[in-house]
Amino acid sequence: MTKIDIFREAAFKENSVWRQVLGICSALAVTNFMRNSLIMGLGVMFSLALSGFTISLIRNHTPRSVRMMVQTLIIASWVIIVDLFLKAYIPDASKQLGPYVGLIITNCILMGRAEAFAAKNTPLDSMVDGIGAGFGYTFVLLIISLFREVLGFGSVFGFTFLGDWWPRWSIMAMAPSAFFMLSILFWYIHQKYYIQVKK
Amino acid sequence: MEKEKVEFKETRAYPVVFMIVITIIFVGILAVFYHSTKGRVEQRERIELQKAVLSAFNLPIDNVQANYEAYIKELSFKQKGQEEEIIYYQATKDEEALGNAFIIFGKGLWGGITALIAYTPDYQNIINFAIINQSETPGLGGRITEEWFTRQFSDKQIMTDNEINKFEMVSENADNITITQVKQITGASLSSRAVLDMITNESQRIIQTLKEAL
Repeated sequence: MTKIDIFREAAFKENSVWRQVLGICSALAVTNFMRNSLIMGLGVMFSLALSGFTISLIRNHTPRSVRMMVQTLIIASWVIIVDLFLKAYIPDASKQLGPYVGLIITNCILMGRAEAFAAKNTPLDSMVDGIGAGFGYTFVLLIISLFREVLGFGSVFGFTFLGDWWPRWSIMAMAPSAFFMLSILFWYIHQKYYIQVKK
Repeated sequence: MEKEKVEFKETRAYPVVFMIVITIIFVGILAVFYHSTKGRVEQRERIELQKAVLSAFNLPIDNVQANYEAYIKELSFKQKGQEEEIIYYQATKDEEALGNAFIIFGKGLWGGITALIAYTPDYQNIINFAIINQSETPGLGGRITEEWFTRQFSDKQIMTDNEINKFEMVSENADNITITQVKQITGASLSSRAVLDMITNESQRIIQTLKEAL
């Protein structure tokens, strides 16, 4: 498998959100603004790539009995580094995301990719897989947040383009709308790409 | 009979040793990264607080450090029977006291809210109010940081006859509001209420404590 195949597989064909139903909590929580979604997505992508690389690097020495503890430790360390980096260098983004960054640690995609890919493949391939899975996750977050932000606030990435004539749908900024949008997205993707129509 | 040689990797001690080593390495990396960013984070937080204090007294924020040193004095007093000191910020311009600002705390929908409130020297009016930290729903409760919302509290009379005034929340679209009314954020009435409660409760506490301390 080439690096491009690994990326495509992780990002689209086996997308963590719509195919494996992982990372749903954060997909529901941060998708009311595109900016938040992008920052969260980049944080997850960075953590996935680096934790995948590190886990793969020591995979031949990691005892099976403690492998999940080791993976959690590595993931948590990289996420804390992302959090500290945002606090020090992108404080506005850190303020916006607040407790969500810490939630990356509990994002199932990280443990999922660590177990399914990084523990069995080379460091470079694992890094590409992490970038792909992170890209796929960011892609889903951005699609959901695009609809939620436009309908809820009349804006895209914080830039308002719909005038006062647009009645802001408050519900689009709240959790229930994320459930609707995620379900619609799941239904659409599965209908279009995964379900074989029987003639 | 020759004893079969067991590799260290196969022993029961290996996972324990491995876990200890890997923990030390990663905790070490984290400690180094934390210390290398600590100074920057603290400096940024300090400047943000100084900026908020200057804004609270409508003082210029073009040169934060210099203006802060010129106009603001950090003071503190002790609550009766308590060890902890309450820090406050006193502003003076051209030898005239502008007022005193305090950091106040409240409970929001998802977590704590930290804000800065500045009172006139006689503690009868609020000069300004600003949110420093909050974790309300972005786009909904998170709008408590918007200027139109916080500005509502500027110049509001907080005390009448030694009693904290009671405020009433009205719709965000209300046209004419009285001095005892505050506009709430549409779709975030709990966060709006949390801010109002924080202001009245903390003002009560501060003014009561000052009376006892002085």
